[in-house]
Amino acid sequence: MKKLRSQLGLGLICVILGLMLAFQFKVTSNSQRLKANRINEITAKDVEELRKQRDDLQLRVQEYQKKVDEYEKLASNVDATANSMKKDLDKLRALSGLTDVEGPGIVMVITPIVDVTTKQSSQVYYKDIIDVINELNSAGAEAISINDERYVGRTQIREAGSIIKINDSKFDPAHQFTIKAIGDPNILEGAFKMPGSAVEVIEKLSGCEVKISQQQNLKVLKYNKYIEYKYVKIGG
Amino acid sequence: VINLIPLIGLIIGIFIGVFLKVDIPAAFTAYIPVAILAALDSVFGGVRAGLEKKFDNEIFVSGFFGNIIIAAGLTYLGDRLNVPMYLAAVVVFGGRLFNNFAILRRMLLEKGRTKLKHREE
Repeated sequence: MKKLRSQLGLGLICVILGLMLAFQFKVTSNSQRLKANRINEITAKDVEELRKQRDDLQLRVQEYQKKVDEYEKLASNVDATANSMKKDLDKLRALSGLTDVEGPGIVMVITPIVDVTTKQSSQVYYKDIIDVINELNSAGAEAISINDERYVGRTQIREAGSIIKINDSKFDPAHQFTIKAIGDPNILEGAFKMPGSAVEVIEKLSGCEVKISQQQNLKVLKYNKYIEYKYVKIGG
Repeated sequence: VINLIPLIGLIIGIFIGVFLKVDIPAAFTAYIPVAILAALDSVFGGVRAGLEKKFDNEIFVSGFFGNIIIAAGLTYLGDRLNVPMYLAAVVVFGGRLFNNFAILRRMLLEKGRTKLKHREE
């Protein structure tokens, strides 16, 4: 009789144990499913599709730009004033980063390093990029692009969640950043050679590898977004 | 049949748990694994005590709930103090589990051997 009672006690406890085990199994399998769903949301396919769409739209922008150029050419053929106006316009465009430009300069490649033991990558901090741009500007860079995003007056470089936003394009801080700058290559490179320079800070604090190379024929792409002025009144 | 009661209980418990639609608040999910460990430890201890013929129902039941409450309480305290106290529960209960299992195994083997000997004689 005593044996039966003890076994019943053990049995009751086992019921509770089984309950807890089952609950826990359910909870863990649920959370794993949730995680899987999250990952599925942004699949590589979506990325590819969106990229294609972006490229298409950019092509269309280029087409329209060509048309505008044609009209301008036609207009400038009409008389000399229009011709000189067109020249001014082209110059202004080049200055404001609306045309592709070429020239000697430097290419800086910032590569995050993957830690062997933790498998975690170091990350590029958005202020590092701002520092580098600042340094390049003070060294007389005439055109700058970050990952082919042209640096213009309206360019923002900011952290948005776990990404870095440049000209509204999103970049993963754990990926490579390529900064191109046109100017005197020696002066531009020299800006990063002094002790305590932006590059040294990136290497030491962010733990990224930085490589600078001089190039004689560097191409910097134009600003590929549409600039709209809603509030500015010219001459007001 | 009597010896199978715990096993049957376990299966019943799992069935109820699987088919019952009870949502446990997310805040508790950290405590259940520790509680499960404590419960497993108690059950193994109980089985061992049963084989040693020292099983006491009151000690077993109080130990079961006491262990669970202390383990969950320690985990909660650890969360508050930002010290991973649940590690203590995991280490202690895990160690005892292995210990109990080793003793159980030895006792069962010995039992089987003596039975074999009896039969041979």
